[in-house]
Amino acid sequence: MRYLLDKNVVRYCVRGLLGDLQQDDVRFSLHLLLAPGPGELFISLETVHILEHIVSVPQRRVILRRTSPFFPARYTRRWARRLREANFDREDAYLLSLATFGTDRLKEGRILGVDVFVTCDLALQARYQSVQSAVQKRLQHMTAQLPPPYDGAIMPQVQTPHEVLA
Amino acid sequence: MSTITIELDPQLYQDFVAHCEQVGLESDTALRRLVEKFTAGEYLLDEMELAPGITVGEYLRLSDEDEATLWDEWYAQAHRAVGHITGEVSPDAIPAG
Repeated sequence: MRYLLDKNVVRYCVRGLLGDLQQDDVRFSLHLLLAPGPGELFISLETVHILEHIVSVPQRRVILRRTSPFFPARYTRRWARRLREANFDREDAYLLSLATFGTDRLKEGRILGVDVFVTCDLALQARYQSVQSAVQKRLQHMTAQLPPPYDGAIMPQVQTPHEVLA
Repeated sequence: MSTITIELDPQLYQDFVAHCEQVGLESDTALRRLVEKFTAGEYLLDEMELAPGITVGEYLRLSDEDEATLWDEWYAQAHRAVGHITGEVSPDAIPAG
């Protein structure tokens, strides 16, 4: 399984690695990061940039070692625009689209999309579930006209760290 | 070797010596190890910088909402730096699912 971590999950991991484990979201996010074998963990280039160039504490290296960057690819931005029409804000639309059309390398990416977008944002999860079937049809209509491998692109599940670990 | 002299209040000194005995270390060896780990960045103090303009202690005292707002600012900054990057997918790439 492949997972794309929302920045709030990474934020909670930073807090947990700094030693503050009071919140459930912090504990579950950190557990997901450190647990052996849930699958491949990816983070957006923006989150990589935050960890490499803005946050300077050594705990960031724990996250960078355990995750890989996920690159937007052809159709990521186009699909993000469609998602914005379904009332997702700019960042959420971009990340959900990245989860569908992103890849693992700058050149010759070996994969397309992830299975699960992991977030602690319950409002985003609820909104996604409420529009999922309509958006799914729209994606199928779009991918039917695309060449391989884009014609196999799917919408990810949206789960919290707790749900992933369950 | 250089030498540092530190003053500890009596209770802290006793606790430190007792703790060293528990783990089987001479007090100067324990202190040397602590200094090594601290300078290697393995121990953080509240006064240390976490990111430009904010220390570890200040960060840990932020409410969840304020911390989220700070990360939103960092995200916007990061997007300006990397938002133009686009990867290429191999034709035989494996879709999720």
